[in-house]
Amino acid sequence: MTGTLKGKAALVGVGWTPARRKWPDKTQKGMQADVAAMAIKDAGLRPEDIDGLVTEAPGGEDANNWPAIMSDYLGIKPTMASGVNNMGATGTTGIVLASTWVSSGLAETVLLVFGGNQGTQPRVAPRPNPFVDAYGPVVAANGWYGQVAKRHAFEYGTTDEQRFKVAADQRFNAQVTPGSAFLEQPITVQDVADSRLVADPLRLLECVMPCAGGGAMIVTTPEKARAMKNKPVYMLGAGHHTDHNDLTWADRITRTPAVVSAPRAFNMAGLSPKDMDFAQIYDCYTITVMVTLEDAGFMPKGESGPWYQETDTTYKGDFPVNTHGGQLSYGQQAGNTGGFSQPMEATLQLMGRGGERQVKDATTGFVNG
Amino acid sequence: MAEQKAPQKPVPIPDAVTAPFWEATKEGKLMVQRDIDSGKVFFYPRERSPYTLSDRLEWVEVSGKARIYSFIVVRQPGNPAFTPDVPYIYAIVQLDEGPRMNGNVNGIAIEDVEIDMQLEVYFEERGDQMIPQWKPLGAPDPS
Repeated sequence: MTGTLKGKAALVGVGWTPARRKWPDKTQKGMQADVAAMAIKDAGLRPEDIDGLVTEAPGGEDANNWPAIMSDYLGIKPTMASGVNNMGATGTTGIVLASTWVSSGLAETVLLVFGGNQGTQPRVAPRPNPFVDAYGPVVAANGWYGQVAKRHAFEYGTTDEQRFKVAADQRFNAQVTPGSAFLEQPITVQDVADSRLVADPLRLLECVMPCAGGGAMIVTTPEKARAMKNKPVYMLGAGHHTDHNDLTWADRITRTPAVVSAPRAFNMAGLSPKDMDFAQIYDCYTITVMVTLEDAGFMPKGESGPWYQETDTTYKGDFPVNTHGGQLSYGQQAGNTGGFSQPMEATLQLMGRGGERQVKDATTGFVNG
Repeated sequence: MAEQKAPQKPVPIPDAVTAPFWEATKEGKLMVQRDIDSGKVFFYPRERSPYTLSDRLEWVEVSGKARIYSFIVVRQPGNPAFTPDVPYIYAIVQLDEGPRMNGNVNGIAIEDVEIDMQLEVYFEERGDQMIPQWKPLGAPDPS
């Protein structure tokens, strides 16, 4: 592949709500409109400056044609608009899509907006799958990642305590992240060990807590970005890879698509993991962060356990990971905002707006969805 | 007062693609599909081969021998119909022929279950269907 996005798009505005368990006075459209307004204002723009829209597909309240529904609700008439759905990678996929639009001239200034109200959205019931349902699985992805954790321990000797450190470090970060769902609730490795088993071997404090909330960002051309009020955060490299849905049929469940996508991103940027000042890694579970960091090349395959034991991954540590607390400790916000939190946090950090959790002298970061 | 009906475990409903699989389990056979062009076998049932996209497929019986690829111990099932069974094993098993399936591993104490353990299939009556289940190799049928 010869195409590149290096230096061809910039992130210039962020809008992000706190994570709350419920937000009963807010519709999904209203939630998304709130963060859209915040991001547009943050970038110093007006709604009429937006000519591209990336949002989720389907939406919750009105499942069909969400990009048009949101364009209508926001009173914008974008040249390019699309819904994206790549589960946890929806937000990062959206940023790549928006970057291709602005780099090719199809659009100039793209709004990305996600969010919703946990538990109040209608959900499309998945088609019954007797090859799974007949055997009494646990809810959601808990079982998949429980099996990843089990297999990782088998293949590499990773211990429960090594995984628990992921949760404890991220919780430390969340203590100084305004809006996080777990403010004033620090935890230790022992607290994680004492939490109940959810999908043995995974324990409760290793699993995300669903929350309400939303997030939005603005992507534009480097030329326009240079004239804007925020310090632009430039796209240096991007890679994507899809290889399975149900982990049962992954070639190896301890290997993630990042084994392909991360080298693509690093090659495009001409950089390597050692050039990164931090990593914001999709974290539905502790083990997810570990296998992704391995596959992205931050340590050799199988060595994330010892690495976590030896490394302070808090915002003031040796190598900061999920400086907002991640979804594990900020809260996994609805409507695909969860996986969008990682790029939002990276953008705030690289703009120097990390507040108390700011990573010192951070200029370059790695994001995974 | 309305009588509370106990939740039922899901009974597979065969469709055009999966019917041969469920017909075979009633005869005590475990079948997977084979891509005639490449000779490769695969599971779950599909209309075309994931290896060649060919629709020249046939059903073949497999040995019923497998190993545990990974597993969790379920203590809180998603479906309350399984609550009386907890704790139980929900596993990915890898057939000796290669393809993987989900299933429960029964007939063994939970604490003795290990990845790579050798298994063999047996069939559990579920409504009007027979579903494949797994037990340690050589063990008697658990049910």
